[in-house]
Amino acid sequence: MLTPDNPQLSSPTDRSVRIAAAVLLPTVFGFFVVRHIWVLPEVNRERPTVSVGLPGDTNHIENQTPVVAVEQPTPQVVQTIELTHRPVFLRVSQTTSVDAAGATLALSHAPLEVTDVGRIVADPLAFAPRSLPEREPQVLHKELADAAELNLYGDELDSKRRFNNFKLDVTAEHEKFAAKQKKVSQLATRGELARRRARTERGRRDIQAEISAALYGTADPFRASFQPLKWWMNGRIDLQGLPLAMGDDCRWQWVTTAAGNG
Amino acid sequence: MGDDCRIDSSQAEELQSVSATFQMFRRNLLKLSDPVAKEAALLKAVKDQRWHYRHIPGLMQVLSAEKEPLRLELVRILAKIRYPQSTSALARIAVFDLSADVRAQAVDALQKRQPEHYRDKLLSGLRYVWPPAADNAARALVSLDDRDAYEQLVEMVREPDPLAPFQTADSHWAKNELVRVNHMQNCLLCHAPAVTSNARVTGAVPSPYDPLPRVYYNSPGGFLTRADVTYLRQDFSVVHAVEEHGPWPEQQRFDYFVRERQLTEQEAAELSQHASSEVYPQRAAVLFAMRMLRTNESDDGRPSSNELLLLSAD
Repeated sequence: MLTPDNPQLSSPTDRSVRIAAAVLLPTVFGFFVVRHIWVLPEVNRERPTVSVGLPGDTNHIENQTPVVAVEQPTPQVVQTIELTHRPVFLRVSQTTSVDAAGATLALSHAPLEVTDVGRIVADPLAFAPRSLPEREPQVLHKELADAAELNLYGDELDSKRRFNNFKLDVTAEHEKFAAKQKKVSQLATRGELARRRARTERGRRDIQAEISAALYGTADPFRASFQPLKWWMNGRIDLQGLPLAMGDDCRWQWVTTAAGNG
Repeated sequence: MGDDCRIDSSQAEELQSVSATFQMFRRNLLKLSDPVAKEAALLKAVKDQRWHYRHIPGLMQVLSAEKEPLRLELVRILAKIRYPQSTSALARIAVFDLSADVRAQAVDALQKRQPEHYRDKLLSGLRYVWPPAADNAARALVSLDDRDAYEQLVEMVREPDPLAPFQTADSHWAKNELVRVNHMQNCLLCHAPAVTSNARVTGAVPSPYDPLPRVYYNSPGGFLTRADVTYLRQDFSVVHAVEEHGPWPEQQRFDYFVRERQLTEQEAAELSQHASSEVYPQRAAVLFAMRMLRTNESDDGRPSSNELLLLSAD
């Protein structure tokens, strides 16, 4: 029979203690196991790989995110920080001197200076200019007048495609090229008298017109159009690797080059 | 030829009508000898004329290189024409005009327009190789308080210096450069020659050995170009004094373009020895716009987590 004097029997308080111990001890043990084996390493992995510690007080830094100042904020700096701190906030300030309590961080792209302890607040715009230079029109004028001047007949303009806003449907042009080549050939036959005609200004214009008309929509009409006399004298038109030459028989011919074009 | 370089027949007719109108104006001015009176008369003629949206390309071509009063009038005309093309033209003026007054008027006019119609122009201005254009674009975005452009600005901060050399697809080193071309000496650089008699809007190729023709477009005889076919459109135009101008006027119009120049081997070798700078005017302009637009938005000046994600994302 169970009596209060029987030492085998537990009081409700004792039972509670045992139950609590049975539950709490493994929980506490598990907590420490999990914390030290799993959580802390993870936490540590997310901490900055750079040393941002104040001298002799690294724990303090671990618990609070430091505030750093970026002398020259760039996206790369932010990116570098982002890789080491998650989440990252960087506050940049105009301060360039290292705070008395601070340490210098040398990251790959810019020096960072620890100036305080707190959150890292990322603000790449802190050094963004508050105003932009306003130049007088005459200054702008002079600046523009110094830009390189190109001339149609100069060597500089070897291809209009090198300009940022060149407009020509190049693919379509080259697709049409084969069909037009036949027409050019027919024109070339008619051009047997070209050399004779080219002795006069009118004749040269006619030749230019014929060739330009034939070449329209076939290839870059640029050279063929602006230098009729020059290519007449050179006996050759260089059309984006599609050279055209006037042969000895006064016919316009597509010339096969060593590279196999033509 | 492709459609990119050609305007359709109705646009060509409108271009012709603008050119004919200005020819008429200039013919009427021939009797005036005083340049100031001439300019005033031209301004009045432009003011009195009725313009509509189809005239915009012609007006931009003719008036954007004129003196400041006419450029201001151009802005007023564009401000009255509420049309996407006029919005785009105003944005171009806000970026490239040399006069702060003209730019300010253009930005004022843009206040009443849809940002979608001018934002791209202003953003591309921020990457222009001529730094003052980038500054103007940044100021315009800030004046217009275009906060919706902010995310694109964040992306642009990451862009390299537009003047920095780069490698082309064929592994050559090249560089973008601002270049200028004399407008009257290089007709066939930008336009196709007129080889048929039915070309709509034609212009004579002037000879550098003769005085400029009083009538330029639709002039008879000589080598002609087609104004309805344009391979190259200038970004902006400025009139400069020319030293050896011969029979042509001293003040001549220059068109500005950006061209990609392949660098010589020596230039490329020198470049490899210099690290590229992370501080350049176009980036400063972008950062300025970001800062001002953000300041407008929040007082604490702190970036949102979204900004950071954008800034740090690859």
